Order: sequence, then C-alpha cells, then structure tokens
Amino acid sequence: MDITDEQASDPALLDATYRTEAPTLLRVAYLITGSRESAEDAVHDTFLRCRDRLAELDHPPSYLRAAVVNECRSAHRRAQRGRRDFTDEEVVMPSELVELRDALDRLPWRQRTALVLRYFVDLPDAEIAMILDCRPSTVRSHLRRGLSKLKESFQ
Amino acid sequence: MSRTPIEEQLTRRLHRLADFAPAAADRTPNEALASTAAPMPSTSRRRWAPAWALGLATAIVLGAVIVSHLTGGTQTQRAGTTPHGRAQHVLTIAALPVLTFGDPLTGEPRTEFFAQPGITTLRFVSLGGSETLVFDEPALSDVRLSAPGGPSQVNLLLERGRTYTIASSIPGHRRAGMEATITVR
Repeated sequence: MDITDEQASDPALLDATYRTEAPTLLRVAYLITGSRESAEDAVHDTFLRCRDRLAELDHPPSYLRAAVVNECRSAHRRAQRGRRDFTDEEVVMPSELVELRDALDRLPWRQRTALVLRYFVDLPDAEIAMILDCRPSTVRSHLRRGLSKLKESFQ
Repeated sequence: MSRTPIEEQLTRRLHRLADFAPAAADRTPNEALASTAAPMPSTSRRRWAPAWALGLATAIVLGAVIVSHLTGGTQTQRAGTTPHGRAQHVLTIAALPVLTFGDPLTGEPRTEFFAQPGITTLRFVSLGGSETLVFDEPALSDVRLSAPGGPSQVNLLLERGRTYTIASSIPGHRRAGMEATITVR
C-alpha cells in the first residue's frame, strides 16, 4: 500500500498512538533508566523520531518499545559520560523498591534491560533478542546472570 | 512457563516500582508543537526543543543547535580562516568513549562526516570521550575544540568539494582511531 506524506505523518494517528502507548512506554523506560527525567525524554524523543513512520508500521507498540529501549541506551551512554548516577532523583519510595532500583542500576545495561523486558513486559527470548540485537541464548544468559545478582537484594 | 519464587518476586516488585514512573504528558507531541508560541514551563520547553527543530526544518541536532543556528553561532573561536558573519549551517561531531568520532544523536562511530559549503558552525560534544579536535589543514591549525570543557565550537568557511581531515591531538588517540574526514558537498 502506498503511503502518502499526509498519511505518513497523520497527526491524529500520532495523538492516538501517544495516548495509548505512552503510559506503558514510560513505565518501561523508567525501569530501564531508573530516572523519571530520562524516561520522559526517551519516550518523547521516540515519538518525535517515529511520527512520520507510524502509518507504515505493522505493529506500532512493538516498534515503539524497541525504539524506546534504544533511546534509553542513548540516555545510559549520556549518563556514563557525565560520570553521574543514572538514578539521579530522590523519590520517596519503600526501601525494598529503592534496593531494587539501585540493584538494577548496578547491573550491566543489557542484563537490566533483559530483566525488565522479560519480567515486566513479559516478552519471550526471541523478541528480547531482536530488541537487544543478540541471540536468544545470549538473552537467557543475561537473564540468568541478572537474576543471580538481584537475588542478593531480595535477601 | 512456570516461574521460580525469585522470578515472581522480581515481577511483583518491578510492577510496583513502575508505579513511580512519570505520567504521560497532558499534551501529545502534536499539541505541544501546535502551541510552541505559547510560554511553556522550562522542563517542557527543554523536552520539546527537538520537536520544534524537527517541525521547522527536520533539524538534525537538538535544541542547542537551534539556538546556535538562530544566533548565527556567534560564540566562535578565532581561527586563521574564521569568517565573519552568520553561520548558515551547523555540523555537530561527538567524541565517543571508544576513541572514535561519532554521531551526536545515535552515538554511532563515524569516520566520515558531510557538510555544506559556506559558513558552518562546527560543534564538538562529548559522548563519553575526553578529546581535543584539530584539523590537518594548515589554514585551520589554530582550531582546537575540546570536549568536554571547551572551546566547543567554531565558525568555519568550508569550501565546496574539499575534504578536511580531523583528528584527536592527544598522543596515541589518532592511531587508535580518532580520525575522520569532513567532506563538503
């Protein structure tokens, strides 16, 4: 099907997709980045980058989720070069959640992202592998190692 | 597939932690773009700066580039051929932590950049690397951009058809890969 420019950047489609998908994407981004500000930036930038392609996507939620993960990776890099904590905000929350957030923050980026995509989004190995651009067996390795490290924070 | 107790515990805690995620903005990207003339809180203005750039000219770089573009990149380092006048273009190059230059948006390593002829504001930003950018061309030997720290930008008069070679001035970094070209076309 040919997509005209007008269709490709349909404002109504963007609005509708944003209202439907943004809440979930923000939660995913927050779990991956540990930062509310970074999560907001990742989701908003993702919509801006993808707005001209929305009409062409077979399954926008999957595409947007992968795009948000990529934006989170960029945010992670920015945090690293700034030599600051990725979790840069003081948010009052129960101690066990603080421990989880900090434990996730200590994990390598891929392990953390794999854990979120599996245990929060409930994605299968194959889909996580596509997002992380690795093999399913590597995803299983990330999950196994990440879980092993997180166990300590659950003691 | 059944999950172990630790997996169940992690799932529950992740969902609880996700409740602390920010709420979606009241305005969709289109609505924010439509109201750019109206004053917005500072955080929103910062967040929607890329939207404004994309909406106006499918701009390549973020809000700082727009500011630089609109003001003509007047914060210039005086180099031998530093032109006087407003910059017509902006080229941003990033220093990556892997001893390469790269794309400032994607963080991907690049050995070749492209610019348009005319007065161009060359911006040098750090994406983890700590580098000093210099040119091979004798006419641009005075140009030294450092990231982080600065000076971070300079106005250059780039000539059509020329290819300029940039590199890191830090000993050993050029050999390790910190070298690239800027082709003007």
